[in-house]
Amino acid sequence: MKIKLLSGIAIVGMALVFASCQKYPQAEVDAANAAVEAAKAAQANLYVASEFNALQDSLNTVLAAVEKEKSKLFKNYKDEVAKLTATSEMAKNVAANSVAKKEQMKQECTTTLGEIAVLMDANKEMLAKAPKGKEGKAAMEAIQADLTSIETQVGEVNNKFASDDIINALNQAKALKDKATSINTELTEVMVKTKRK
Amino acid sequence: MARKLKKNVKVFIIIFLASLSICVFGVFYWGTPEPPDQELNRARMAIAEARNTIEKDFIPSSLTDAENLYDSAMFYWKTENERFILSRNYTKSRTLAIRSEQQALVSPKIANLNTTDFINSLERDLAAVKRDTAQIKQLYSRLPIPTTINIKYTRGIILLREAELNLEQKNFKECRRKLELAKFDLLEVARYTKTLLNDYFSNLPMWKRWYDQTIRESARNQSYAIIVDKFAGKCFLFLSGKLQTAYPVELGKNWIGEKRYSGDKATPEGRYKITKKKDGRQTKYVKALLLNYPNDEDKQRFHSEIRAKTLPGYARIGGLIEIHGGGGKGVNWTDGCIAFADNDMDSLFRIVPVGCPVTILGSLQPLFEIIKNPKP
Repeated sequence: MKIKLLSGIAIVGMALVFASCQKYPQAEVDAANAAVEAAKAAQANLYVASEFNALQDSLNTVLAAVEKEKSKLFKNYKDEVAKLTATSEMAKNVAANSVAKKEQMKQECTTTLGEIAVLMDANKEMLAKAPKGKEGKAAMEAIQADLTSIETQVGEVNNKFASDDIINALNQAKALKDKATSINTELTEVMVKTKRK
Repeated sequence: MARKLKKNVKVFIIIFLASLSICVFGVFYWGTPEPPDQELNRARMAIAEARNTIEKDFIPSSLTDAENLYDSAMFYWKTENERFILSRNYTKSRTLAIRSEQQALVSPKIANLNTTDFINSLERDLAAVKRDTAQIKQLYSRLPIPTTINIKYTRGIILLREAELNLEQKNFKECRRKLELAKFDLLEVARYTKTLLNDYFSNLPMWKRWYDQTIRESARNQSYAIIVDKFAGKCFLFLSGKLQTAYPVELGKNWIGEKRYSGDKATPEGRYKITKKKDGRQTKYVKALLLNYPNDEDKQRFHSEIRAKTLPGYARIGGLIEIHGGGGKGVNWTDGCIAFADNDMDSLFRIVPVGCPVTILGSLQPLFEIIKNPKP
């Protein structure tokens, strides 16, 4: 009986020592790191910056927790594996949100460019109908120069759009739309004035 | 005896192994060094806090340093964890974590100083450029501006709007970049406008003299007199030195400055008289008042320019400068004449006689007053 008890203690003792060699969750760590990198590749740090900061913080927290567990004599990575899986999921969501936000900005940029095109067509049409006499010539020349300038800059917006510089492309498109609108208002006033006469 | 000895050996081995296990357990349990998790947690929280409070354009180098130190602390922690449990030493990792926390904690203060100054100066500059641009616009829209300058103005306005949009989105550095580009274009427009106007307004004392003389003569002769203020785009009718009425007028396309030669589309400046009243088939503008342009001063100036070769020899001084109808178009469009709206022309035509003095001058107001109180 005494022998059995002592044998048991020895076995349990040895088992505890070997239990400390539980496997490090390398696959989960790699997956979480890869998911965060994927979110970064989706420009989440640009389009959903606060979400990306939170994600980065979550990853750092869980990696520290994994390392803390690894420092222990008796390791148990169960909670950390769950957290790593959650971080990977969170990274996927952040990447998806970034793609969605970027897509939304792209759509807005495309819509704005479409609106500029409509305004420019209307402006050109009104410019063609504007009084041809010497009285309007200088003003019309100035407006034509403005329209040419807008068209050139629309080309710049398209280049930015093509090179994935969506934020700057959208801002420039909005500014161009404002200018095209102001020209439209100016020309509309001229046309109304001309019709009255 | 041998069996008993064998049993005792067995017991001894088991006791020895059990004791060894307990000892090993004890050594491992109490001998394992404390990991630097608390220091790293504090560092990580300080970094996260700093990241959340600092604008992305103003991340100071101290925060980047903090992040690098944190990564190094993690690296050394991982490296030590690869070693045998009892020979691990976390001192280096711990020290780096503490330094990381310290750098992260000072970062918001450093960033705040930079951010506040930068944003304040940005907002101040943006407001100043917008104010200056509004001022330029008031003057600019009335001036004959070459196409090259007009293109710069349009580009400047678009860049200024982009700067505003970037400020709204807290893209402060991009806002500054766009603002500087806008300033570059708009400053050139401002410089051009300022030079043009300063040159033009250098004749203000002479214009004031003409004005005073005209009013005095009108008062003395109890007669009508017309004064045209080119900059204001107005014509004032006086009787016996007293203002009767004011009419909006339109001028030559290149109205700013004196008329130098035929075809320059400039409206002359000087003291003239009505030499003929034209109506019916005599004029294409229904009614017109012919002026005695060129007067003696105009001729003298023209010949001086021909002699000085500032005008080509084939240049002609021109003539047929009139006050006529057909105006009210809202732009300066004539070849140098003064255009009235037809109903205004009718009323003026009825009142003023042949011989009525017509003084055409650049402005009745100094430039600074116009800039101070711009009129649409």
